[in-house]
Amino acid sequence: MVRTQHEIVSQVYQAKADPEAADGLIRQYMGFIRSEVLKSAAPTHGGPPEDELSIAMAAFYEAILGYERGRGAFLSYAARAIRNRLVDHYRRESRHSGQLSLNVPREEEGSEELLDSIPDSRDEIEARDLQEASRKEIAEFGRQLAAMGISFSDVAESCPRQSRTLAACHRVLAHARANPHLLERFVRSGRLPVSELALGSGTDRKTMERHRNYLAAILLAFTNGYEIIREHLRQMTSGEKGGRM
Amino acid sequence: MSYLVMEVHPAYAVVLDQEGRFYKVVNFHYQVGQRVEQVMPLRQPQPLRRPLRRLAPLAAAACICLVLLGGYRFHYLTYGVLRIQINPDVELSISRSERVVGLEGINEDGRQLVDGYDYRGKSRDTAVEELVERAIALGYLSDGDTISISVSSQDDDWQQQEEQLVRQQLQDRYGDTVVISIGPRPAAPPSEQSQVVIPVVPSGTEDQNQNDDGNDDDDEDDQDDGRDNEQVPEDPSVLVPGTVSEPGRQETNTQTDDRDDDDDRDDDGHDDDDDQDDWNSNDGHDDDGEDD
Repeated sequence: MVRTQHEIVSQVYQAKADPEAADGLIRQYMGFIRSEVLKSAAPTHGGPPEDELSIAMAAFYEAILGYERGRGAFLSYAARAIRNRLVDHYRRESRHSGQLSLNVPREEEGSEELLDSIPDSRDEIEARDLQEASRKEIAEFGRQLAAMGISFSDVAESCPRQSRTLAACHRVLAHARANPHLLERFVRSGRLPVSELALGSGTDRKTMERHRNYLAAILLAFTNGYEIIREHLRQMTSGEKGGRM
Repeated sequence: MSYLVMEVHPAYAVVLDQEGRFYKVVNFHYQVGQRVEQVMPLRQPQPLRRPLRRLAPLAAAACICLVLLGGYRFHYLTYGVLRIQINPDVELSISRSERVVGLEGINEDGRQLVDGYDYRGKSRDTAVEELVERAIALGYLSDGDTISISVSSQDDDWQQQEEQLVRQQLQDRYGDTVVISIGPRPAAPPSEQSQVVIPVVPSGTEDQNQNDDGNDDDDEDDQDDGRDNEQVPEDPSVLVPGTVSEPGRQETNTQTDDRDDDDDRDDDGHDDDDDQDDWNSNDGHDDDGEDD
């Protein structure tokens, strides 16, 4: 018993550092997660609690990230995290309690759901094409990041959370775009020209170091070839220009 | 706000919002390249609240310090001063917990009495008793002498209570041999001059009060003289302020002293009785009149 606890603790610590290991650990404990969902799922919810399962898995992942040895046994910690997250979810959902779900079966036709009676205004084919194109571009983007030893998880973790820091990072980006040779050098060497960027943008070196992965990703996105991502970020750059000048 | 899904994991997805932020969000069966309108971001793991834990011993230490400080104040700081005048005049500093924290002789005899006496760690009870014993042993106090007690403190209640306690203590122990009075003896304003007078059998062996004893043969006379002598210096000071109650009280004292040798209280009681009798008779008379 003690041995397994030790094993899972070391696994958790491994998963903290390595997203792959985290995925593996989550797959390994899917049974546990499912049972926790069933324990606290609201009985009034018809159908398989897909959303709840997603939330519970995310909560399990949060538990991996948040776990420390001083917090007791991991599984009970994770169970608590899952339950808390689900309770929050149910409370948020209870706001819509007076409304009808679109997934409720229609009364006349047995198999169809209410959702199907709503006219679909989206162009399915175009949307699918766009998604496919996006997927390819993102895959390429990911490969290039991986070549620099950065994963998307790393990027998300080093993304600035304060709007002030975010603005500082965007100043760095703006400076890099104004000086294409810096971007070029970055793409070629795979390393951020930190000192030049810090000097040119007036952003603190330390701030840049802290958000290095994020800066690498966002600078990479503005090099050639990532039309879709850049299009997605159009609001950011246009807003920046409008706001600054 | 639209989010572009960049990467999917079993438990979460990484998305990019339109302002250039990357998030980890709950993965509701997303696919890479998909655009979603609403996401549920993961929460940041909250670090264990170590700072508080580190502060805990400090807080505990602070609590202990407070308690100790309170205890120190309670046990070791002077809360009031008890002055005992036999002939030796001594002053005891007393803490809230009635421990003696200081002892000082006011006059020469007092210094002699105090000299070599270790008051430390003793309670007020013990110290007073031992000092009086010492005074007797050194020959300062003999039968029929007066011990004057006065307590001064900022706390009036405590002061009165303390005076009563000391008086009670000495009364119980020496009540039948010496006179115990409350209030400072010399010409100081006679604040509370409730005196306890106890008839004593003269032994006549002490040198201190030999004058009185030698002059008088009678107990009662002796008592009266002693009292008169004491009150002589006070009389003018009493008369000068011209308060209504004080002189009256003084008069009754002197009158009753002549008549009997009992306590003041008894005197007062006697007077009260007289008054009440008068009232009663008056009432009776009035009633009679109405009836008529």
